[in-house]
Amino acid sequence: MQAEIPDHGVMGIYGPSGAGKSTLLAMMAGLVTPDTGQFSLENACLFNSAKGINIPAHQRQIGMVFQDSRLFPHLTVQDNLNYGFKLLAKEKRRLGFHQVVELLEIGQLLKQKPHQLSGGEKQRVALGRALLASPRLLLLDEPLASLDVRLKQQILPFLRRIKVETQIPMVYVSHAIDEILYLTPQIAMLEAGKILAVGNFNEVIHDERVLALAQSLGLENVLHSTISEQHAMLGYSIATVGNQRIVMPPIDAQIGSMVSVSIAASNIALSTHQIEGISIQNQLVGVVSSIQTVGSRMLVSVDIGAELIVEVTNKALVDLKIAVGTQVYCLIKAQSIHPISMHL
Amino acid sequence: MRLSPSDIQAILLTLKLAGVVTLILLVLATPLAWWLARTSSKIKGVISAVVALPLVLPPSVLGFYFLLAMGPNGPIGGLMHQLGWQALPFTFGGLVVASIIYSLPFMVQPLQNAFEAVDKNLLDAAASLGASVQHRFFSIAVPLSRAGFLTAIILTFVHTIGEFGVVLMIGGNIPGVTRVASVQIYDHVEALEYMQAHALSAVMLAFSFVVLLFIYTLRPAHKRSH
Repeated sequence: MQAEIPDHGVMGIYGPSGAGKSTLLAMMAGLVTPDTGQFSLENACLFNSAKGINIPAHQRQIGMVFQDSRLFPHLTVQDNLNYGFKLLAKEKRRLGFHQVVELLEIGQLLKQKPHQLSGGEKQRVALGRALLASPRLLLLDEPLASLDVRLKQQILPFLRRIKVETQIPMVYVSHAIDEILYLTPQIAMLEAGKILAVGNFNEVIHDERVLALAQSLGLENVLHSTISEQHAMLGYSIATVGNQRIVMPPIDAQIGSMVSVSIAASNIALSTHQIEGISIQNQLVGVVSSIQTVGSRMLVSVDIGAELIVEVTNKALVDLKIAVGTQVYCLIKAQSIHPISMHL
Repeated sequence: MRLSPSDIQAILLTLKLAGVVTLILLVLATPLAWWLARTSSKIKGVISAVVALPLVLPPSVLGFYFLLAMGPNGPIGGLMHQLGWQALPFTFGGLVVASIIYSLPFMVQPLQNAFEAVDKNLLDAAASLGASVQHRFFSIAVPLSRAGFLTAIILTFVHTIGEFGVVLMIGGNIPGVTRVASVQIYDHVEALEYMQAHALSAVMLAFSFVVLLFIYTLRPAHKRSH
């Protein structure tokens, strides 16, 4: 496999369990030695089997955050944060201690030991510890996989903040496509140790194999929307994507704030005309931009101002005479819309 | 039941021997235990067996071979003779060398157990934060093995205090030089000085009990705090 990672922003690595995602990261970090191949960062070779180059992990300046936070149990949060920071010469420190503590809102935790922290707090401290070592590249190995949905929603905005505020290039490994798409459209699809495709998700998704893989893992659409109305008493919120109004379950966010939501492709139905007298709240009008077959299922891309992938049966397409260019309504129950991050 | 000056001298000599042996073993056995805990080398089994030998051999066997090796015709003794150094048998130095081998497993095994329990993932995390091999060892492995170090140090110290057979074979019975408490007790019994033997034995019994009590009562509480 061969791939290049941009020197800023986030690159998502997506694939099923056992695809080799974690091993790939461990090789980049220098924790696992590949049999053959090469790896360079900022034009400096870190590993080249042919030339016998293998820079040890501690000299690579590549930070890593693991699924299990791996905080040092005998050290306080403050000492954990300081671990890599203190090993770095002052002039090489790109982020200040207080800057990182504020960024991740972990000021109240400094005196505590890791075993006193919740899962979400541990991951924030682990992120802070990695950032304070001023990595040239930050590797995130399923950092949210052991957290429940609510905690994920709390941590993801911090990752976005890190991306925006530190400019450190990141590689984010996950088997949850919505997490990756929330952070970046740049994605590498991995399957059985091979890269299927690298690029913008909206482009690579049209590759048959990528689509098949994504569909088998549970294809999620991620929409970046803006909260426009709050109806707390009636139990719903309204957000806009482009000029479409979307009714969502109540979301605790201020009007005007950005909220990213995920909608499973299998939870969207298509209709060729607007339907009255139906409980489904959302009927988003759009135009079919492509249709692809994955096994017995059809994946229909609809342009509603953003791209929405809808999973339907072949029979439905034939019965409704839906083809590329057809105007359709995407029917989405409010309850099948899940906020990925609450606060931004 | 009072301790005579020669009893006191024997006790002090014993403590000195145990202290020196424990310190030297701490330095020698730590890297060995670390290697044994981390290696997947084929010779690990052989080295482990050699380290464990003193646990099963009668001390007199060990002492006998030391005597042969360190004597003027032995490989170690011959070399030392050529270098113009004093022969080791019947000296304090000889006792130290013999005791180091004799007590080696008591230092290595608790340390090895403790090191094996150190999560390799934590060491990887430390490496990704820029810590060198040495720094990872001293900042992560050592503090996480604190209980193992405490056990190893105490067991080595107490075990060295309690040795008899090796001492008698290699050190003889020279007051102030090689006559440690266990040998002194033997002398008292030989001379039918039962009260003297009683006093010294009681001191050793009480000391050993207090130390073991310390290990078995304080240490678990230590662990729980993690």
